[in-house]
Amino acid sequence: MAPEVTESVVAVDPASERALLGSAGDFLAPLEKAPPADARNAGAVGRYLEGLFTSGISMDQLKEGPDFLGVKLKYWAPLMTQYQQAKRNGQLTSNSQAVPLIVRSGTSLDVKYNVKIEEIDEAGKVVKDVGTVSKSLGKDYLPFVSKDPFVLSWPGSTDHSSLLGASGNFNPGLYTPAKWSTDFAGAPKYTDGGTASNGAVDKTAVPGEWVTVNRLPDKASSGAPVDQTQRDPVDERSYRDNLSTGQQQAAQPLPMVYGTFDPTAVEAASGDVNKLPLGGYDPTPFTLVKDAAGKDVPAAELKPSLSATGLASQSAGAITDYYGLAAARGYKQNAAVIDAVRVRAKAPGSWKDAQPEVEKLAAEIRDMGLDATVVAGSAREDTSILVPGYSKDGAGKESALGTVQQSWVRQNAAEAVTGALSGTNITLLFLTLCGAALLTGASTVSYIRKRRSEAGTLRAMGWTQRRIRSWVLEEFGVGAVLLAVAGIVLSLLSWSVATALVCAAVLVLYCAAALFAARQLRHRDEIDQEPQHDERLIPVDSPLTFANRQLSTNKFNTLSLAVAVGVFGAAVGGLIALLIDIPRAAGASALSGLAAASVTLPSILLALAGVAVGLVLTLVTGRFELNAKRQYLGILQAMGWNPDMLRQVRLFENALVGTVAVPLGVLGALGIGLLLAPYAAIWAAVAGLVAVICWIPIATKVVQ
Amino acid sequence: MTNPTNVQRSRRSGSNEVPLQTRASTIVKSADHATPLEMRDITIRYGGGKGGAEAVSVVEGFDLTLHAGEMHCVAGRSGSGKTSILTVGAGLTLPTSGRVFWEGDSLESMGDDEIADRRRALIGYVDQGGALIDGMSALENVLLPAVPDGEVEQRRDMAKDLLDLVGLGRRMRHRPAQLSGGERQRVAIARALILGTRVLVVDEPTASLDRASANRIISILKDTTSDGIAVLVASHDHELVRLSDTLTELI
Repeated sequence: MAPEVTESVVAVDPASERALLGSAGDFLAPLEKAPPADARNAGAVGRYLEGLFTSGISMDQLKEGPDFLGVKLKYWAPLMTQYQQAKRNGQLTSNSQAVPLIVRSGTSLDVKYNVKIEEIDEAGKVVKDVGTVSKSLGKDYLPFVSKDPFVLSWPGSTDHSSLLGASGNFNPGLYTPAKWSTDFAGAPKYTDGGTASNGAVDKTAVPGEWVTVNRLPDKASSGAPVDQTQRDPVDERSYRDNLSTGQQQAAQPLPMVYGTFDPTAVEAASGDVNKLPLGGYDPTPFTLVKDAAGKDVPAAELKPSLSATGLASQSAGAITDYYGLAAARGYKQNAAVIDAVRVRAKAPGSWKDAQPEVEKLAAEIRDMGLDATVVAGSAREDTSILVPGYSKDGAGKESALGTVQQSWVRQNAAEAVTGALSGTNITLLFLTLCGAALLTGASTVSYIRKRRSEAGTLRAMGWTQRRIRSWVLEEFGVGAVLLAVAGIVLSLLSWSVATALVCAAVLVLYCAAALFAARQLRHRDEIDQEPQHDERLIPVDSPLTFANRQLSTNKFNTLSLAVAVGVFGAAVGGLIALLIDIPRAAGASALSGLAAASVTLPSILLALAGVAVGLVLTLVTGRFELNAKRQYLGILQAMGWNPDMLRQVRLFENALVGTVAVPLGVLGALGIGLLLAPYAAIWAAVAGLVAVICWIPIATKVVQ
Repeated sequence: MTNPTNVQRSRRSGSNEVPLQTRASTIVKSADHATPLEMRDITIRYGGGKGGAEAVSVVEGFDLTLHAGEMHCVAGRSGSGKTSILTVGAGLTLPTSGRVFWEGDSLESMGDDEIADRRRALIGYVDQGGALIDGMSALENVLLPAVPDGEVEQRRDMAKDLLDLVGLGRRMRHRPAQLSGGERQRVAIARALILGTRVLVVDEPTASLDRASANRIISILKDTTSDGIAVLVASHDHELVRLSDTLTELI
């Protein structure tokens, strides 16, 4: 009299599945010993077991389970009970098949049911109404079997197992095996909505009929009326359609339980494979995130339905092989019932190397007339699903559940992922080149400033301008040769046209900087000017106004530093956008660890290179007047400015530079984020802002 | 290799001052303390850190008691430690050993903030070459020491008078890049006097100057002593040495 719980059935190839799960798949070992497809006639199996009992079998053997083709059938009781019931009811036909099963121990359903206890005499007449006890299905629940006939116990009770009669009696007593059904349901039906910022398409579940579950039949198999107080029927909304069944619907299949499996151990061993859309032992959970009014609610996972057609389904209750599934769905041959197979392809090398091999395998499967979808390298996205018509009140008024989220795997995404990441790499490469160009420019300015007085000294000693230019170009020439050699080596190692082009571009930049520097180090006539002090300038009367004056006096240096800090902030924002995008881009599959590393590592390295370029740029531009800055800080100290005031000068200078750099960094980070990962652009902008703000105290600490 | 220093002292009587146009000498305050600066047994060593570099002893056992209104010259060849003595006396660096006293108070007992505050009130430091802040006019440079006390506006007229005193009344709005070496030096001296300094510490004030400019600087310095300001100057200028009240020659 257990509640009617719908369990899903998963079919696997036992040998392949054991290879997939490793030692956690050892529970499938008995299934490998199941009889061949043409030796599973239910009638023949039942008669074989009847023969054992009539010929005499010891209690120990009964406890262990009678031997059946090398497997101890420990859970023989429900098979015999159903066999006898089916025979009695005329449901057993010559085509009925025994289905070998490995069943799940325990259930995730929180279901309570009532059990009425009555004392009976030898004749089976009720002599005393003991009472009614409520029980829950829990971890000891086995959907197709009971470990023992129910032993009821409650505080102060005594063992009433004798109520069941003699243990060798095949009468059902208080336990009834689960009812078999060939109502196999497909995936829930959805209609598509708009596209969310993470690329996932919003869905709306399509409600179907209402299904009443947990209801007892009006009459028992004996024809006697059934006490309906044992259960509380509930109406559940259906969101799935029933799949087609075969021709042999009248051929009642019989469960033949070969063993059990611990779902926790299987989940731990299979990892994310457990929730793949092509088949796993546990369905991907639905998490309620908004109520029917659209307001956010604390995330709560939906409990599975009692029916097979609800939105949140029960986990796999039983595992059989392909022939068993065919028999359960009324087919003669297994090919008609296999919706999908899960093929694990192992190929050496990175994902880039493995992808052609995987595609080749997929093509071979397609040649067999089957569909094949490559999951490895796909993207996982949280998809929002609106669930209407989920419940109804006593008056029959329906109300929606709200919005749930479920993790979906975007099929056929390998190509898109590769393309997206290639685009990301190209973008990052271009941005890094821009940063390198800025860095070259800043270094050149620094070089010119340092060498100007040297050039003047040489000129005073009689060097011509041509000789001075040669001297400068010779210095740059050494660097150019080193750059060229490094570029050739990198290009040969990577064997990539892109690398060669980048190295060539950097060399061209460097040579242009050399020519510019040589041109700048020439004599220039200085014209004596009238006083430049502008009365409109803010008077210097505090560390802040002093800092402001210093920055406005050297506008080029100030702006260069602000741009450099802005570039640094933008680079940090780009890195953050990329890191946020990695889980989406790399996907979550059996290859996720390896695939993520091989696919995204170049992108991460490029982004880090961009951050490094930004950092070096701030250091180079910051050094434009580092010595001058230290000199005037020393002068102020000599004049009696105390350490706190000197620190204020440094802080205000950097804060003013940072103020100019903030919009540059935030807008730059936002732009890079929109290029790399639009839905992470805001986070990129925040990261850019934080990077610029953090630069202020760090730079203040550096210059002392 | 150590560099032992023999310190010789001599007092010069009389002076052969170079005449100079001056304003009223009441602009600067008179000294309050009889010995505003005292240095006892000062030793200065550099180096001797990691890598086995041997320490170089620049100054050993230097003593000085500077009286109000006295000009003391520290002379010696380049590298003999003149600047080091001045920076120690001004509290900008610490000696390896020995003690410095400002108006009887030892610098050892003071924290950085207190040293800065006392330096501002007591010491006017003039670096070699003037050491002005680019981007600020001569007048603004002179007013810089008044910023920590928030007295910029109160001392503006005084700054103008000081620039007049040093002969730069018409160059107040000029920036350091537009001033000659001597002019920058004079601006630095004016800056050192803005807060009523009692001790002027001047490093090589006449280096790289022509004779006329050098004499002008010397005249300004000598003028300040008549107002009770003590002057500690490092120089190898013969005229400055001649006009000093006391002399230390570093060998």
